[in-house]
Amino acid sequence: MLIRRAQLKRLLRAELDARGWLEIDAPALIASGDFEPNIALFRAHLANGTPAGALHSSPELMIKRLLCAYPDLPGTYYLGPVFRAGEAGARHNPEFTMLEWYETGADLQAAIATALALIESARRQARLPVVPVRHRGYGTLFREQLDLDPYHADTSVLDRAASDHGIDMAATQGMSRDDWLDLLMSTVIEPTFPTDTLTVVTGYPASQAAMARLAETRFEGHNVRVAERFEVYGGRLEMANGYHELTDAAEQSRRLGGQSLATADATQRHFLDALGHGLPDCSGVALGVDRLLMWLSGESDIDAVLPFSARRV
Amino acid sequence: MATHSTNEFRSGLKVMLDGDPATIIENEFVKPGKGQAFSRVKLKNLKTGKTIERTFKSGDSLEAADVHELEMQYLFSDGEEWHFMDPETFEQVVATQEAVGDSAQWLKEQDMCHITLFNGNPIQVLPPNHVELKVVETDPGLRGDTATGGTKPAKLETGAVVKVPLFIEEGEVLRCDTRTGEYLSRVKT
Repeated sequence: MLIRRAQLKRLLRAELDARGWLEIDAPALIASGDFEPNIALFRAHLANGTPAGALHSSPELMIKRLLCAYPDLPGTYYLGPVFRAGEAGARHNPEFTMLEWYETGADLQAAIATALALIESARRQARLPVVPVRHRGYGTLFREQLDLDPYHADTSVLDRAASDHGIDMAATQGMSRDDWLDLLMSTVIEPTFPTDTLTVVTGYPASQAAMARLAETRFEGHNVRVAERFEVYGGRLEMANGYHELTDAAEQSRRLGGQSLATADATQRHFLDALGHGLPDCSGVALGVDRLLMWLSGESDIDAVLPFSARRV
Repeated sequence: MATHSTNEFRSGLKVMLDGDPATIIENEFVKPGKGQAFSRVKLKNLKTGKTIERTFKSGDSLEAADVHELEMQYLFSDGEEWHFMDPETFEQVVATQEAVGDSAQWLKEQDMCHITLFNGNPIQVLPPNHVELKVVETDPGLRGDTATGGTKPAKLETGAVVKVPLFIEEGEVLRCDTRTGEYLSRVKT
């Protein structure tokens, strides 16, 4: 497994280097924050207790700042550790290896093509056969598996759908619409994905956009606002997430909401400043290297693909 | 009251669920990369033994259950209550029919039992895995017939009925497995 891991990292670097892209060493220790409401950071402190920043959960802000400064770079990537507090389980380790790349001028379809090409190369290297690729809309998945419209269903409908599928929530107060959708996605829909298949999901609701652009699409005769976002699943394992990146600084500030902007920390302010100078049109994709390795080697526990998982450090 | 948050959930943790003490059997962490995290938890109700599945939003918590497990010596019963003693502290507890359940048929005075205490009261009593008990009632033995593998019921001094080979006679002491309810061997006395 150590050899396979090293080979996979070498392959990913070689593929991206061959495109003339630049590997970037984003700092793991940042002043603080990012813009993901559902990702908790590890906070750093000096020995005397003084706050000293946080460990990054993604190199996104730093790479985007570089892209603002050097808009002619065709592509950049980071391959290294990221940290997410509290994420531990069979598919999660609080420290994991991320490949995150930004491709200038690429729209969502181009970004999906790059992600699939990288995964196919990895399968070739592992001497695994080509697998079918399935494209599914978020709305279609919810209609097929739960017979509901995820863009409009209110929390009571989602609550009932969860109960109907044997999910007994300990407490439902404080569950937002997106919380319910996340719950149904990971407990009902993902388990139906065929194993030896890549599933590409697009059409995430606009409320799940974070740093992605928004677009209009048609669903069951209505126009709906969706995020220009995709996810790639290897079998039932979520492996990559990509955005056609939001370049509008004003819109990005709005999404943060007035209050969090007022309390923005240095890392966030630098990022918003840079965005104000102009981020080139680009797509960004984050691929979990450990998850990819799990899928390639048929392992169901992330512990099996890590030299030392958090359970053993 | 102490509470346990989802990030402390692990198998063996004792918590209060729907007013009853429960132990966590399994905790599965699920989370879409960008989405809300949940814990899908399998628990066992320590009073009824029933398995329950429950999903928690990450950060939710459950009250800790004051549950202890210890080895205690069985003293006696009046048929309605069963008395046990901690051999180190000499502290005594009284278990009800509900807590003792089917274990009653294996309880022999002075045997060490596995007791689960909730708020100081026994909620579960488990006999030792292996017990040695005297046969008080069985059909007359067929001497010499050891090869055919036939069995007959035998009632033991504590009330349990086990299947025994035909050669076993009243008054003999048998070694039995209380988990399976099976006869293991004769004990030479």
